[in-house]
Formats: sequence, structure tokens, C-alpha cells
Amino acid sequence: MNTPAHSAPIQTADLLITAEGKIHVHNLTPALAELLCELNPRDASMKMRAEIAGARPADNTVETRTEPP
Amino acid sequence: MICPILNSYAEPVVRSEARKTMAAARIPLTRQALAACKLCAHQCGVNRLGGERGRCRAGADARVFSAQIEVGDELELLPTFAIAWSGCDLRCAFCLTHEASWNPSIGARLKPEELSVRATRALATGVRTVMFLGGEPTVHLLAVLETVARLPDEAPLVWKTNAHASAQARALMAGLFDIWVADYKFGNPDCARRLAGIGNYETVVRENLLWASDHSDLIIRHVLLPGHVECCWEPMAHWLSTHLPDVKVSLLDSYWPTERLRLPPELHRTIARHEKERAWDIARECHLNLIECNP
Repeated sequence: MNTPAHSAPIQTADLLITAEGKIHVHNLTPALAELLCELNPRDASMKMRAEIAGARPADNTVETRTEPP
Repeated sequence: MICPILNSYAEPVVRSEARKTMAAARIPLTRQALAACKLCAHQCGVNRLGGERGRCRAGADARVFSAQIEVGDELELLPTFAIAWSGCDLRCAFCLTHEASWNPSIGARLKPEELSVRATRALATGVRTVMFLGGEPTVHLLAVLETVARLPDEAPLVWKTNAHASAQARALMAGLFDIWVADYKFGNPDCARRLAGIGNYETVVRENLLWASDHSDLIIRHVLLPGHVECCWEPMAHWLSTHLPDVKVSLLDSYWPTERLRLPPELHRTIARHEKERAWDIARECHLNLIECNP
């Protein structure tokens, strides 16, 4: 798929990793859910989100995070 | 807390005509409304078509700062294709996305045609819903309707909002969205005034929540703020138990302090374990229909 010049074909999410090792996430993408699930397989909520993410066929062409002009 | 994957959401909104047709028919009215904008409850009345700016600072053009598949929201909505428009009518002191949310010139001018193509393709790959958010999407209702008018009628659409819309905006979006995910941020007027500068928050948000409950499936979302369990969450929970006893409530403990804002003192930390436990206790005492745990 062609993406316009003013957008970039990447996905982004915001993370905060605290000193005690807790990870907070905003705008959780499928790829990041799968990564976080691998980091902590005991996190039931993340496991479900990773499973939901993995249940659909990968198609990164529709996913676009835009950038400021 | 139990965090079930819900297998189905409510039956789609019953519409007397095709959603595309309804949305398209409201586009001229919505464009006209921008000439004396009263889409949010601030009711600024400025001419956005003529270059004037109200409290949201948005003009007539809409920009998108994110359009991607996400799995961070309530489980029954996921995966969702989330379209985030920049610009918001509120200035919450703790806003994590304030750089994009408060600046309507951030992001790209993505045409409704392009957004609808991307959303439709995402649906074809197994995405469950299309979510409209911001900032605050009410501010860009014209662009939203132009996008909805191009989406398949059967696509489940989610309206993720701060619940600070005007009656005019609600009328323009009636029947278009299957699910509202509405923030309920403050449980008393003092906190709303101090943390977001809103004078009539409770009246407006409750009006929006009751309306949304009548017109669509509704998920009320509250992000617990440190130091605000008793003053905000507790009165909110009691109001919900009385007025919307069966509504789905998503209680999140995911607040984190952004370093990029000058925060009030109590918001410099995440929520404490004892505060979280007290919040769950209040929810149980009020018999709230909790649906969610944190990502």
C-alpha cells in the first residue's frame, strides 16, 4: 500500500518502565503485546491481549502512525 | 480481579436507515455548525470556518495523529483500528497525550477516503471494531461523519469520548455508533475545576452518560488517580449504582505521571496498592458491573 509522504509506516506506543520493574503502556500495539507477554508470561491480561493480537493475520500495511508535520 | 474475554457486545444499534446514509445526510449540518461552534459543552460559538478558535483551538481542518491497530483498550473491543484526531476541548492536568491531544495542528491531514480504506482493510484482517478517539473526536465531528459515511454499515464503531459533548453534537451522532467508551474523570465539582478547569463537569458528563446509555452500548471508563479514590471514585461509584446500575464499568489503575507537565502534588506518583484495593472494595459495595483489568 502506498503511504502518503506525511505519514510513516511504523507503529508506536508509549512506555514507562519504573525502577521496580513495572511497565506501563499506552497505545498498546499487537507487536508490543506479544513482546510484553514474552517478558512476563504470568501477566494474564497481557497474555489475553497477545492472544487477541495473534489471532488475526499479520497485515502491517494498514497500520500507520502519523508524524507531526 | 477476573478479567474475562467477552464473546459478544450488545446487539448493534437499530437504525431506521443505513448508517452511511445517515452520516452523509448530517455532513452539511455539521459543517454549518462549525460557523458558530457549540459541539462541546463549552459552547464557545466561534466561527471555526472563518478562522476563529475556541477553547479547543481547532479550526475547520482535522488532523490525525495516530491510525493503527491496537490491543490496549477494553478486551471486548479488540483488536481495534483506532483513529486518533488531534485537538481536545479539555485540559486535564494529567493528560498523558497532551502534546497531540491539545494541539490540533499535530498529525497528518488524512482524507476520510484514506482513513475509511485503511479501516476497512483492517476489518478484513480480523480487526473487530473501528474506534474514533482523540484528543476528543467531538471536536472533529465533521471529519468523523465524513469517515463514517464511507465505512461498511455493519462495521462495529466505537466512540471513545470525554463525555463533554453538547446536545447538538449528540443529535448529530445519534444512531451512528454501536458502543460509547466514555471517560468519567472526576467525582466532584472541586476536583473537576482544579484539575481540568471545568465548572459544570458533573452536570455535563452525567447528561452525556445517560444519553449514551439510551442510544448505544456503553462502557464507562475511570482511571484511578492517586489521592482521588475517596473524593472522586467513591461518589462516582455511588452515582453509577443509582442511575446506571447495569452499565459496564472499566476501572483502570494505569495512571502514570507524565514528566512533561507541571502536575499537582498528589499526581506525582502512580496509584498505591491500598488505594487500588479500596477502589475495588467500593466497586463491589456498589455492585458495579466491572468488566476490565489493566493492560
